[in-house]
Amino acid sequence: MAADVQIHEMTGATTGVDKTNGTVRFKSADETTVDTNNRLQIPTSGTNYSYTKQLRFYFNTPPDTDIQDLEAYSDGNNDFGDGIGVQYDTSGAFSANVNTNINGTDLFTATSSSPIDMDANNAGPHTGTGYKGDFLRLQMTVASNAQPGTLNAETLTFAYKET
Amino acid sequence: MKLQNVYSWEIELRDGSVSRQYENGKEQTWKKLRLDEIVRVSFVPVVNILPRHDCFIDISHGEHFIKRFGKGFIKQMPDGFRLAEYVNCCQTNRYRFWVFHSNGRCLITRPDFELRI
Repeated sequence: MAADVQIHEMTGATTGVDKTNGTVRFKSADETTVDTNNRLQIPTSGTNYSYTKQLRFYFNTPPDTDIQDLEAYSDGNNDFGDGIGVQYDTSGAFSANVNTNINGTDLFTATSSSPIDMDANNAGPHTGTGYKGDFLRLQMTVASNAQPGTLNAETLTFAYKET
Repeated sequence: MKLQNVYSWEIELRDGSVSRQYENGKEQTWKKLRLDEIVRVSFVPVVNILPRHDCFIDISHGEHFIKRFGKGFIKQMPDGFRLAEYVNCCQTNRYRFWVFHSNGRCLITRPDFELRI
């Protein structure tokens, strides 16, 4: 059978929460719960930063041979509205979540024509089960010109190639 | 049935022997086959309402099999992360033949084209 691949929100180097049929919510607290607590505040000036979120591939069942070419990309359109963005970086290791500026790259520049390489550090081919590839660290930024309210979800795609 | 298992592969060699993804109670690999002798790669639906697809590889005119692979696309939708699409691909030196598991449609591209949806 083909592998059962999941995306987990990481809480440690080898611990995370399965996000199958679940979403990721940027918050002002370092936790994985999806609710309306700990909302991000619009600053009177400057920029506020959410706590970082770290996502990683998890093989719930193994591939027949291997999996490689782990990628992630957005749809290229930031529909969150004025003053709201998401920045990212990648790493081969887990780091404690922070709510200070990570000086990352605009997530919406990572598209299907220029995806994020999700196994540049922890390179494939990947076999067996468990956590594979790199950590994708995300952070929402909220500037003073943002509008209040609940945001609609954006589409984020993770792709993998299996043999 | 999970989306990634809706199709399985079947490969025929020049001598008429056929290998299938699931035989003798376990999953097989095509990597042990003589790749230069592969003349047919088929994607066979487990669910009969989907179409079967056959790639005939004309080795007598310089065409040859390169590899077979699957590709998964997990998307965060409003209702959460899920496997939104899974494709099977047969690559020859002349094209890539993609089969979409969600609806059985196919797509033919250049051999260096990387499908992202």
